[in-house]
Formats: sequence, structure tokens, C-alpha cells
Amino acid sequence: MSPSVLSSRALVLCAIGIALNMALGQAVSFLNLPIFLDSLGTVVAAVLCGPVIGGLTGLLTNLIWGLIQGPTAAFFAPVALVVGVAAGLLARAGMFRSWWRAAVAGVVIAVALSVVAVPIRIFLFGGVTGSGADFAVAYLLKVGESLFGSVLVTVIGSNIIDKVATAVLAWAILRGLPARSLSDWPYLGHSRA
Amino acid sequence: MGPDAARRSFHCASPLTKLALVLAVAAMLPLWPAPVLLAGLAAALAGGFLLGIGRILLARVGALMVPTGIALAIVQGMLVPRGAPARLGALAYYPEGMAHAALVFLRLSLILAAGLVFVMTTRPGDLARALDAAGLPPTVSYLLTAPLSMIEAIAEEIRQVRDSLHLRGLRGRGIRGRLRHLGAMTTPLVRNLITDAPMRAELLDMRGFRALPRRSLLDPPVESRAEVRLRRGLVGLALVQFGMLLL
Repeated sequence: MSPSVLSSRALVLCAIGIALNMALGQAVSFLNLPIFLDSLGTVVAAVLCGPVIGGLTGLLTNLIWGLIQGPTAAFFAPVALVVGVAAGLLARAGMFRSWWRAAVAGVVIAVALSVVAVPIRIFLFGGVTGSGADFAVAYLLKVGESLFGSVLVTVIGSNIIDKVATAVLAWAILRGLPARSLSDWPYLGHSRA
Repeated sequence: MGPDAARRSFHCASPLTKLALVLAVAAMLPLWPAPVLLAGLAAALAGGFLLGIGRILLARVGALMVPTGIALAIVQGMLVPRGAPARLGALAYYPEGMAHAALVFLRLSLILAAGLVFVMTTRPGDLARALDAAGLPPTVSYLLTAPLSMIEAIAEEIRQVRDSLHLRGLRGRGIRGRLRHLGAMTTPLVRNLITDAPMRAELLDMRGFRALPRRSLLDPPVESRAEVRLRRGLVGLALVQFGMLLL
């Protein structure tokens, strides 16, 4: 990794993103919305600094979460890495320039993360995680869907609203940053209309 | 070695040695059959009781694994066709599926128990110090400790923003209201953090964060030769088990 990619500024943003993921993940529960918002820091870091920092922020969030709460979160660290990398690449493609593009980016992120999350859920957890989403897996299996199909539909279904909300919120936050922020975060230029 | 001495030794052991133990346990999972994993789980739980964290460990493993176990039994034992079905009263199930569910349950329970023993006996700061002493770049320990020191401040700021929104009458009723509330809560918080980031980075640089040659620790962790040998042994055991998987 070149020093410019992992500059002190990017490092601090990474740490802020990790802390934000953890704090917001707990704080939004009181709003009773069907979202986790535990990857807002990852998406913000990815849009400001690119896929490497975005991926690192996601990966470390789950690893540190695993250090504090137990290893279950750490198993899903590759999923969080994909969220950050996908968000960074989508930002480079200009998908955070307007709210509707950000919403599409959220859908793409949800689909991309399922590529990693589904095998982890099936091979490590036998298709279940002990959460409410297991009811959906059981229902889909009962109506004749395969285990892979059931888990895939459940993972995408449970993540799509969250990732669209996260991406649109990240767009709303970043569009309000002053123009001089571009000098601090040159990668943000990809997301300015 | 008596129970008290064993407890002291484990609590004082280097986080890297404990991590090596977790690695050796993780390498066991895909390799060994259910009885070995069950023995490993029993040993981890007994170790927890020996270390004085047994009740909390058991409660946390139970809270996470009981719903997972029930879901595994239903999904793998009753819904996914695997081998010939059997009947238990009105219930049809697949004995092979139940055996697979039990294996997955034991794998998850064992790594969860081992991971929780590590988590409950190790402070993140100690792990960062051990990584520093092992010669890893300061970036690693910064990324491990800085977020933990920021979480409480961010959570406090979220509470303050939420309270001020409530005082202004923004309660967030209905889905649209709650979404607006969420935006109003997170936008100023995240923008402030982003605006502060360059200043925090300058402070890091001014303190010689990346200065070379690297500075040594004021109080480096002390390790006995026996512990270093034990750690190497555990890493070796993990590698042998991973190697056996490839055969």
C-alpha cells in the first residue's frame, strides 16, 4: 500500500469511520427504523478517500467489533470490506453525484455484499444466524426454494433498504461540505456534480 | 500449578499468545468430528470457570447460540433434504441433516467460546501494545485504539443532538418523520467529524506519529521464554491443522 493512499488524513478518517459505524449502529435502534446504519462511516470514508480506505474501514469495523463483542461480527468482516470497496468504486464512477444515483449505488452495494455474505452464511453458519431473518430463510425453504436461493433473497432483502438509506444519507452529508473540502479530500471530486 | 496461579498466568499472558490459542482453535473447526469439538467446547467453558468468567461466558454463548441452534435444527434438520427422512411423532426430520446441524452448532459454539475468552480477558489497549512491541507499524495500533477512544465521544454527541432535536419539537413520528429525524441527527455530526479530520491528522504528524526510527515502548510487555515457546507451538499446531485440511 503506498504511503499516499494511507496518509495520516486517510488514517484519521478511517478511525472516524470505524467509530461512526459502531456508535450509529447502536444509536439508530431507538428510531425503530428497519435499518442498521452500521456502514455509514464505511461509505463516507470510501466516497472521501476511495475503495482502499473504504474497504479498510469496513474490515476493521467488524474485526474490532469482534474484539469487543465476540467473534460473530468478525466472520462478516469480508462483507464489510466489500461494502467499502464497492462504495469507493461507485464513487469513482460518479454514483454519488445525485440522490437517485446514490440510491442506485445502495442497491448495487447490497447485491455486491450478498456475493460474499451468502457463502459465509451457508458454509459457516449453515444458512442461519439466529436472527429474525431466519424466519424468511425457513419460509422460502418451505415453499420450495433452495438453501442458496433462500439465503440470497433474505440477505439482499434485509440489506437493500439499509444500504439505499446509507448511500442516500452519505450523499446528503457530503454534498453539504464546503467547496474547500475538495482540497482536503481530492477523491470527493468524483462525487461533485 | 494451582487454579489461582493458572488464572493469574492466563490473565497476564500476552494477547498475542491468547490470539495464537484462538487461531489453533479456529484451525480445529473444519477438521475434527463433533465429539472432539464437543470436548473442546467443554474445555473452553471449563477454562472460563477457572478464569472466573464462567457464568458470563456461559450466558453470552447461550444468548447467541440457543436461537442459532434452534434455527439450525429447523433449517438443516427439517427443511433442507439430506438423506432419508425419519419421523418423530408428527414431525418429519432428516437424521443426517440433524447431525450436520449439530456439527455446525458445535463449530460455532467452540469458536464463539474461545473468542469470548480472549475478548473477556484482553483489553484492546494491551493488544495494541503487544502489536507495537512485536514490531508492527504504529498505524496498526492507532487503527485499533483510536476508534475505541472516539466511540464514547461520538455517542455522547449523538445523544446531545437527539436531545436538542426533541427540545425543538422534532420527535420523529411516522416513517418519514423518523427518517427526517435521522438525517437531522447524523448530518451535523458527520460533517463536524469530517471537518475535524485534517486537524487531527496534523496533530498526529506533529507528534511524530510516523517518525523513524520507530520509538520503543515505555513499558513493553514482559514475556517469559516458556510463553514465547508456547505461542510458537500454538501457531505451529494451527499450521499443521490447516496443512492437514489440504491433504
